[in-house]
Amino acid sequence: MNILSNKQSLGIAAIAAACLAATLLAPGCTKDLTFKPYGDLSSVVNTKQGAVALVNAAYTGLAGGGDYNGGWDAGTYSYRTQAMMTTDEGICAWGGDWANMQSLNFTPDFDWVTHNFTKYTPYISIITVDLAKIAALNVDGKDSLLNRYIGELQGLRAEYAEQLYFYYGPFTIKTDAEDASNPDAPYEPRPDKQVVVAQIEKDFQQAAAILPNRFTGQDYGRFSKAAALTGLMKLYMHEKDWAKAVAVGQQLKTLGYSLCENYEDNFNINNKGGANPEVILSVVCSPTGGDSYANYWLAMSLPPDYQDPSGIPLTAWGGYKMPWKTYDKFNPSDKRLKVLLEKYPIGKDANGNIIYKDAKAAGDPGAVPMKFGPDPSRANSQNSGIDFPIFRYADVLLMLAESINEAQGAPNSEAYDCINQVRERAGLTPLKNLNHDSFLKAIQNERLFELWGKAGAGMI
Amino acid sequence: MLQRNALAEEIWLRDNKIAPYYGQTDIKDPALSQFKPIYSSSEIEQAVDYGQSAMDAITRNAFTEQHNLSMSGGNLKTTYFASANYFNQRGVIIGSDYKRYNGRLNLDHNISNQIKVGANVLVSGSTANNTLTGGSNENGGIITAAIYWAPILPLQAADGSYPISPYYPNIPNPLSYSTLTNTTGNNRILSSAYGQWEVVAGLTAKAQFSYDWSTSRTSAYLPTTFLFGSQVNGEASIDETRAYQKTMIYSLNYNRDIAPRHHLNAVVAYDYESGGGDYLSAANQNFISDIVKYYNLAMGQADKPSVGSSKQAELVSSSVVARAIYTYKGNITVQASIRRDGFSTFAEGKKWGYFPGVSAGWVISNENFFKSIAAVNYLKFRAGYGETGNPLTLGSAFNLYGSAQSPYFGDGQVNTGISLTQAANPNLSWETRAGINAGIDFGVWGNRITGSFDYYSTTNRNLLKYVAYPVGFIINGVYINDGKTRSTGYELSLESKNLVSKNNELSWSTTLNFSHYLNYWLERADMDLKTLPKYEIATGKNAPYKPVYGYQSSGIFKGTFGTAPAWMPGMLPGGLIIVDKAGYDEKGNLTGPDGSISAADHILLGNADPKYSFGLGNKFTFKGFDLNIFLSGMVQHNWSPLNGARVLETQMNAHGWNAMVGAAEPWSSQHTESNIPTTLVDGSYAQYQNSAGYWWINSSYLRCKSLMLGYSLPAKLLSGQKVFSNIRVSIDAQNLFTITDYPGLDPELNAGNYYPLVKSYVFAVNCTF
Repeated sequence: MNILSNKQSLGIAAIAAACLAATLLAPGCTKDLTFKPYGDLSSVVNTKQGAVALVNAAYTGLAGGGDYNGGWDAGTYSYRTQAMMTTDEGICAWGGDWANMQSLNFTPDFDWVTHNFTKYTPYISIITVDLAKIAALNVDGKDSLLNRYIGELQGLRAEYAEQLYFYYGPFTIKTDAEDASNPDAPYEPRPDKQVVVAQIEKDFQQAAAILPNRFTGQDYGRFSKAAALTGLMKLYMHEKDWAKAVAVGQQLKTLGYSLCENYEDNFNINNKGGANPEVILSVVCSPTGGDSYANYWLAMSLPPDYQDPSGIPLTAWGGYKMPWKTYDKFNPSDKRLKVLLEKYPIGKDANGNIIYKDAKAAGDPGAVPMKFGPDPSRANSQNSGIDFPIFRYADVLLMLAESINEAQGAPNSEAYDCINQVRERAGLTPLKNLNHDSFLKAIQNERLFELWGKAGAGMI
Repeated sequence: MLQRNALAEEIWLRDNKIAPYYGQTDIKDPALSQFKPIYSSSEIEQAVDYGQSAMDAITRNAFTEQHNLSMSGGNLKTTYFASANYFNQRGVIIGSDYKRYNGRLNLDHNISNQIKVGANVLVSGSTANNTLTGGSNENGGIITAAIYWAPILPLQAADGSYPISPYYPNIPNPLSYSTLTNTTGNNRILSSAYGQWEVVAGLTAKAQFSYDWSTSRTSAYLPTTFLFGSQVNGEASIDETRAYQKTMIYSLNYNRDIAPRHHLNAVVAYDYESGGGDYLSAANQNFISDIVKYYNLAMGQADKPSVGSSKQAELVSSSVVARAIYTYKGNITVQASIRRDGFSTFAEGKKWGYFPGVSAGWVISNENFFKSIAAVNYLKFRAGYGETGNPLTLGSAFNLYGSAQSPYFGDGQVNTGISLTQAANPNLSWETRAGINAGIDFGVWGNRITGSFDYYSTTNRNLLKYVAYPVGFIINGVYINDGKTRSTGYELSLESKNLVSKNNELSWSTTLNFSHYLNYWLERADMDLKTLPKYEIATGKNAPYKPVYGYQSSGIFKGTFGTAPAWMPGMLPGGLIIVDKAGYDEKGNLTGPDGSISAADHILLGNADPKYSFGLGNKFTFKGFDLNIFLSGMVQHNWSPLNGARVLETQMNAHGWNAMVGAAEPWSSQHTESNIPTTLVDGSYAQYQNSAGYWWINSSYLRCKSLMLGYSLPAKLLSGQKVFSNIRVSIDAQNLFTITDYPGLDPELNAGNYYPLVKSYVFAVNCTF
């Protein structure tokens, strides 16, 4: 091998390599690197088909938005559970942080009480952004379906804001879409209470003006006019604006809702699909609904040795109880005790007779707050498809009775009628001849008996 | 049983506020309802011992077998290599095993002296029968089930059924896990082909293509003999993921002496790769018989059989590389390279990055002036600087909308929702890893001792990180190019031939390696700083990349009721005292001690990365025998598993779970001098006490990874036949022992219930034909 040939080949190589390197290293001469995701819905968001899906997503906050049975469901973060565990209504056998709920031992580092603020403020901002998107599709404001979507979103925004306001006091409700979608928007200090109340009131009122009295069929579970008015009534009562509360309550009486025949049908398979005239708003559940849209109440509440007489297998972690001192306030003939058990079934004897265990005699700390019926589909022993009622007409009646009593300084016949409808269904004698204070006390008790295990059973 | 009674009594004392530790109530107060033990003394005496613990029942001795066959051959034009491998492992937990088959074929063919082509195919398949491990509570799997199992119960009833523990009836019977089916089949085909042409002497053009295709399918059935199956009358499911990777490389390589003593190797290459995959699942429930398992999903009678699928975004990368290596006299090397890399997930206009590198090496021992140093026979210095790019593979720079949030309406119909699932970042680009390193390689005393030492310092700038937005924003966070981190460290490796006998009859050699690194933050982006907790150190050597924050503990509170430290009013006796370090002012900034315990009192406890890693190997040979011992270890800290696994109010008392029992009794009103925290949960302070420095313990270990004894049959024994040219038998004991103070199952694993590391013995025969 001689040097000359080496030099020749070096020359060829150098030229070839230099050309190749120069072309390839220069920007431009390269294959397409466009990012190609599959199934991205960015282009659908700004269409009418996308609008309904944005509205649908906004509903998920009612069911905790991916939390473990949060929102109006039955888990740690749910309103229902937190209301029960922080009052005389309930105790939890699991100890640990549950004991802090009972003793109201809260610190800023206790996630259980701070979590929902982190969870629902984004929902409010997202709805604000969605409202702007839908308004852009409905420039002339004449599309009735898009108008309904706007009403649903306003109702939901008010509902989320109201829960946060009741929990945490005044906070900033982002109502400007540009501001809501700017991560660098400056921090705003807490607004005055009036500002927050006025915003929630406005949203509920505008929603009520657009939305139908109730939703049925495939749309059952959406936010109706009745739901918006129920939320509005709670706001007025919270603000002690009794006259306005009475007016809204009386309006609610005209929307076609009534008490169903049996109390327990609000919490079993008969509460589904809009068949129950008492349910104003609920989280519609399914055994395949996952952590948000399946009902875990029975798993949380039933004691481990509970055996349902129907033979339906049920997961039972034995956590939630109603302490005996609260249970003992019930009139023993109250029909509502059918779903609040002092003695519970633990199996059958050889002749098929159900064997009951006396929880009180066994030293359990409280009664079994069964409340919900087992899901007859047997699809899943833990994940039940029984809906979670959010607002019920019985609640409206008791709120109206209370508001009248406060507005007028004493109960009138309408107030008695409201509370006595509820008592009559429970098989209790009607109330009469009470003054303001004793009527208030009676309402307080009745709310416990009727509405335990549903956030806001206590007085607002 | 005794443990449960003792715990229940302590809870009773606390709940009734009994003096002197829990309140001011006299234990003899007639108004008290007396403590009732969970088990009476007669129950304890009559408890049946079933002679076998649940953990023993679910574990077994296991074996592994492996068979390899390989051959190669060819002629001047064509060569081949083929191999086949079979591996079979029976798991130490009942119901778990693994089988793997591999086949490989390589072909190379010379078309002419200048042109060569070749192809490789690798085919592999495996089948694993899995058991369920690694969840929590009732989903904790077989090991959790065995840990929770109350030993006073029989594991299997006389009729063959598997009873459920009445103390915690939500978890399946541990033995019943052996009746479920959960099989994962993996298949992979990796094929590649190349062609190369030596254009002129020293200049080679090459094209390479490869295609990698793999599938993984898990088929499962939960039978009615298993609790979760019986609840739904049998549940069958099939999940499949598939993945592909396509690669295309063109290169031009010049490799030649360009003059005497001057050698050049220059490469220009172009590389284009794309990869992706998809997923499919189906499941059904409510089967008329367990026999059909997952073979006919349509036979199930569930109201809504479940289906699911997804397809990943295709990740595309493209690169151009130019590299030149110049060598002078064979002992001085200088290298320079530049890459231009593109990746599809980055923002428009930000997809490409340039990454240069230079390095040099000098074998000084080859220089004439060095020859006089006889003791050192080899010495090389190395140094370099190089940049490489890290692509973003977990996300991208673009807004994405998905249907993750869908509510139910009607009587239980899902209604599709759309929500923003990824926020755009129009500035998102490459993370650059820039490293300098310097090292030496050496050999002394005729290579009796050889080794190397490397020091490196790597700085990652524009670090890719998912950073949270402030609370309340419409999406949780976004991928950004955060600040800078730096990792500095060193690695030392040594090999010493301690004993070399003349006729190779006896030898002993030792290898040692030792390394250390520290990875920490140099700079952080403003957005990251905004959401960083105030107590966290943002940058510097005290801001490790994987920091562990907790609380400083200063011993156990042993006082009577009413004497708790002022900053922890009402704390339970026997609890860890937390040091009040700081508080928050109105703006959320840290202040000095504020007289109470809060998140502000967090301190840096340590670094989750190990401090030192080391390995030590010794090899002895004597005639046909060889003995290899390999030890490895780490100096590190870890959370103690005892915090979660000990006797604890929320677990043993609430559910009757078993617990790890330490050598000493924890603090209780019966053991008031104990320095071990109480088993009661202090509602006010448990969250702080659970991450107290007390539980951040030394988990350093030294483990005997492998001890292997082998014997090769002497050549003269084999000389009588022509079939075998060499036969070797060996026995290998893996994970024979571990020296550690760590109280958990394994210092290499997290505290938990995962599949345990096994001690195994391998017997092997190796024949060469």
